[in-house]
Amino acid sequence: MNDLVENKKSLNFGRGLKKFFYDQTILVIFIVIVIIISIASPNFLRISNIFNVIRQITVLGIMACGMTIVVIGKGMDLSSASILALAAVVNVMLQQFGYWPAAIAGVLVAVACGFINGFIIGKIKANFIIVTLGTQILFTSLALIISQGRNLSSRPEKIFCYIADEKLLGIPVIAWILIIIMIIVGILLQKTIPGRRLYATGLNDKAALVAGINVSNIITSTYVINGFLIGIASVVLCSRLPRIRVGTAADYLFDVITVVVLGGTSLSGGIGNIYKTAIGLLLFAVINNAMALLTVPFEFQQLTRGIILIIAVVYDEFNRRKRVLY
Amino acid sequence: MSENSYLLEMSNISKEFPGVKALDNVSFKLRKGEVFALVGENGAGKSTIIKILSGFYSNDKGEIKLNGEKVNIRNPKNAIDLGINTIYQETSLVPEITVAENIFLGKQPVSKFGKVNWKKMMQESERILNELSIHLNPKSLVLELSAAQCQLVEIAKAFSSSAKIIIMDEPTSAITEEDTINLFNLIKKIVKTGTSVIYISHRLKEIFEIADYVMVLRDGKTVKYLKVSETNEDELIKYMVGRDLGNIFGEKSYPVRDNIVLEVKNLTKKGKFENISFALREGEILGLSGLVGAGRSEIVRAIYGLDKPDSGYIYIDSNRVTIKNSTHGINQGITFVSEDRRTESIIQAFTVKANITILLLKSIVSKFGLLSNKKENELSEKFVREFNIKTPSLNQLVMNLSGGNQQKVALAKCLSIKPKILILDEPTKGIDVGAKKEIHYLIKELANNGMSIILVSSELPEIIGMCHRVIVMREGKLIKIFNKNELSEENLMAAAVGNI
Repeated sequence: MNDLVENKKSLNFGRGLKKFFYDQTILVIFIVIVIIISIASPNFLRISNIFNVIRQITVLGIMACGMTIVVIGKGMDLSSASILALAAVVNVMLQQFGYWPAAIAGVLVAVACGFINGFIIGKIKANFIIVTLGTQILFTSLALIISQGRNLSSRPEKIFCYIADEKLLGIPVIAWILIIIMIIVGILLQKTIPGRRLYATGLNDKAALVAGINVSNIITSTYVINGFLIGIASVVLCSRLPRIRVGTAADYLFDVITVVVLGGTSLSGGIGNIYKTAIGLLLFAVINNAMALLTVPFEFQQLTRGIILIIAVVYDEFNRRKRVLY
Repeated sequence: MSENSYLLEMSNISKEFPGVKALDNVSFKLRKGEVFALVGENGAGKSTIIKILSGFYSNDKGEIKLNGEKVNIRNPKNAIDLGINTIYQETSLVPEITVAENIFLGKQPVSKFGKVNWKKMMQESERILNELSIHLNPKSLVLELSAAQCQLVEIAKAFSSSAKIIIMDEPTSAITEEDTINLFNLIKKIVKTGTSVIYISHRLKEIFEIADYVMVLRDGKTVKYLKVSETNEDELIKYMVGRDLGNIFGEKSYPVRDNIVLEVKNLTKKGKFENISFALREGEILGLSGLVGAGRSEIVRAIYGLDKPDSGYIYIDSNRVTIKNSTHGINQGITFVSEDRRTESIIQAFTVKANITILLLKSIVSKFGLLSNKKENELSEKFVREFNIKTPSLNQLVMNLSGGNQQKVALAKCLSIKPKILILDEPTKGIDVGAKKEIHYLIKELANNGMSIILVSSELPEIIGMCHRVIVMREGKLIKIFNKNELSEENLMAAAVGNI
């Protein structure tokens, strides 16, 4: 009798382990890659390099939080990097009136951009790909018009320099910002009523509607929150970089989408969370950093990034099919 | 082919899913031109057999022989190539194209140069639809059709291809008795041409009308294999549930109070229903009957706020209310169980507990305004026990439950907010006898305790057995409201088809 119980336990443990590897595929891949790279490039595990990576991924990480929310609602924001560019340009242009008003104006612009997306997609119910493709061009053009295509220099005040350069409890302040935002967004998604409603909407908007959920408000707010987070990211960007170019900001789009998909938030909606995105972010950052340390030529870096995104999307699709068939 | 040879032989088929043995050593044989019925409660393994035969699952053990040759059904297309056509409970039509295009999907008639011969397609479709007495325009878009009409198109689609075996999974769950008669005549016709039919239904009466052999499944095992002419309904039920159920509907002793809870006046939505007026009393079960497409679902959807009526008034407790969306409906104390369980009543990829608490999120919030896991577990556990929902855990995804248990989750969800008015649209469609009886009992209990209920149903015995009064609709119009003493299948049918 006791043997039987023991057997069952070990069986459960085996299953648990299998389930862990299945659920945490990305984490496992991440650990394997970290080990390989640490052997290949001794610089990788240096504290200075790690902090450098963290500083580089903060803007991306904050934006990925916003994108995760949008994707859980079965959407996608192709204009997110353009919103970042526009908010950053507004921020820098207004710095002559003080850094605080400039930063707030940048955030407000980003929220407004998010609202435009959200209104057209959530209320009018236009297709999100085309809408955000359109606003992508629109916001980028606005940023170019306002900045007249020049490189702008950002001269942040004291507090913002502190954010960019200093450490708190041994960790860069900038990393704290990312961690706090991730915790807040994580709680918002997992532990609040709107969060639960968002998952319901993403999984099945018809059933959500029957359950009395205001689906169009939920969808609209995902884009508004996304806009707000991009606004925060723009403040971090302007604190960190001395020069802002519209093109630099616009490059973030690909990275944001890759991070979210890589983490395992499903493009078919309703499945995903911030933890996944965090792992996706770390994996993406480590691969990028490794390629830089190993001085892989730029074209091959891009090639690798493309392949990663395709693999991530294929993996997502296989997961989805498994769910539907079971 | 000799007299004794079998078209299909399934021997010792087993199939296991994580944690469940869906099929355990099931065998049966099917002759040419035979109607073979599969019965059993939900979760008994009928769907698994169908999915193996139609190529969605592969069997773990056992072998399948077609015309005496061992076959391996690799995927759904392979099944169709082998001549096995399946008509599912849930429609698999393409909504955005016409009826004719759906019937000829993948086998469009082509003229020279590979161009689709539209004229021929339309003519052929019309011929097939006429033959089946389906009154539909082959040119209408499928998305304009009701769930029941879709089912009819689906049947036409299977008939139009020269199938050796047609599997029908609950073909009558969404169609009216009139259509059922047509369907049966048709099945008799095609069986004569040598096509065999595997027929799954919860309506046992139909088995006796149409089938030659019947197999009873319970928990994935064969309980009994019988010649239909040598058994009866009570015996089948006994084998299915393993116990006697007694009279399905019991007594109608529950009282109706006098005060009117809901009143609808001249409610009209163009093209759907017009000038509908009725009142619903406290503790009353009011039936909505009529043929599919008569506007029954549309009315209840409008009352709940899912559709906007063009004109007319709704009064709740004698106050005029405007219900613009389902949130308003819920706030007025109305909840609604949709006819479309899979896509509207529940969220398939949500857990049991998340489905149950979705209307009641405010009450599972702890301090700081955050959702409390503990409260959610307590609340949903209470409902799982109360409704006898069979699930391995509260965290099980609802899609892994049987149909009857999914429906109980949907009911639990709607009852969680203690509504005044409960609207049920075909609540027992595609549900096994055991769960059906439980749901009927529950509805009566609720009415007894003062809840007012609108019950939309295509099943006349259900409507007659359950309701105090019954509204019969035809082509969007309210034909007559029948009182308790006037309720009979003949009266309701006569009103529904226009002989009144």
